[in-house]
Amino acid sequence: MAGKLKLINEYNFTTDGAASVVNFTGLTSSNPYKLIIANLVSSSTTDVKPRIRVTKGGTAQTGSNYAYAGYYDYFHSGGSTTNNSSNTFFDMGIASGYSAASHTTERSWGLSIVDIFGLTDSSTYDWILYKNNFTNWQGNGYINYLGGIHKVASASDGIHFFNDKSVNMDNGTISLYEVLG
Amino acid sequence: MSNNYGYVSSSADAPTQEYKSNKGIFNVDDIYDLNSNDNWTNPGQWELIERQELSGSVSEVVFTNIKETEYQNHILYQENVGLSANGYLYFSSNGGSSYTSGYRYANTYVIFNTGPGDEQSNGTTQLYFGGVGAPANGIILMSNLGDPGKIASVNYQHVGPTVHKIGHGVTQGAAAYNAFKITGGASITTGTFVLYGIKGNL
Repeated sequence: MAGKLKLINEYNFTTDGAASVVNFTGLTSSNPYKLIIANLVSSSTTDVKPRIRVTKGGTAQTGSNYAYAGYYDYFHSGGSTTNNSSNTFFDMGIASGYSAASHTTERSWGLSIVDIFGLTDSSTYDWILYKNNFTNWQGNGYINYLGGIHKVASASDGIHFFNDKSVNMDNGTISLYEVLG
Repeated sequence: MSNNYGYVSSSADAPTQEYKSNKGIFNVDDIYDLNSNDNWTNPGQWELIERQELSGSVSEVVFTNIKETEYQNHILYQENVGLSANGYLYFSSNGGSSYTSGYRYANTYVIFNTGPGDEQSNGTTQLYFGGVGAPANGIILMSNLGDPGKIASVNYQHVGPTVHKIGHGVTQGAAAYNAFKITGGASITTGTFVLYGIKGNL
């Protein structure tokens, strides 16, 4: 049997329209999910930091129940560690964000991979591992590796993607896969 | 396969089922049927090798049918794993009768409410990837398990209730392995372990 990545949902900010928020809800599988975010750009605003929340009943959870920790680094200088035990979201741009200046053909565009475990399980937290790399708002290469939990042991049913500036993203794709196994 | 599925090409282009040298063209119905029967393979495709769901506490989780000659790279998903102590990985060359005792690793971690730390060994009897608490979720990537001329190389990332850890480990000395096991240092109380092979080399 093939252990396929099954495409569940996809949002293309070019063909589906610029947006500041994307919700993938109605998830019911107990399998892990994988979110791949590619080439994300906000062409009008600098230092736009992507963020993620889980949803329950289709509603993004905004309480201080997000804990995460990890590392970030740059191509041009050293990085550091980060940790937060009571945030209101998973921060995907710990030290830096996207910008209009990021998306030139000479520079690498962004890629983020987010692995999500236990999302629909009513007895456990939501668990995520995420890795991001992109050219940041200052034109510097940026990476981070983080892991986190949403500390509410009840079933979640989706992913809420947004950013710190509440501005539209107008390029890029967010794809959600179920890891069949 | 060619007894059941036809190529579009002429008999002069008789199919060859060699990696990167296939000939002929399948028609749309054949592709649909092969895909439905899990007989349609693309390089890079994940294939499920084995899924183990714990129904009670065990001392170790063992994989002895890892199809190491078919897959150069393996992925192990660990879901809701209750490691009562730590987490260790061992490789075997004889189907799990015994396990190799030479490993190197380097891990770095950050605790949610305090800060970072690291751990490493340049020669030890077990590959230490755990220590993130219980339950834990994570992914282990393993390469070269079936290649007698290479060391086994492992990358991993896990998150537990209070800590996130990433790391890399290798075996000491080249050898082929056909089994591996995970132990918790004590018992493993819960968890689902799903092993995939990545088909072909891109």
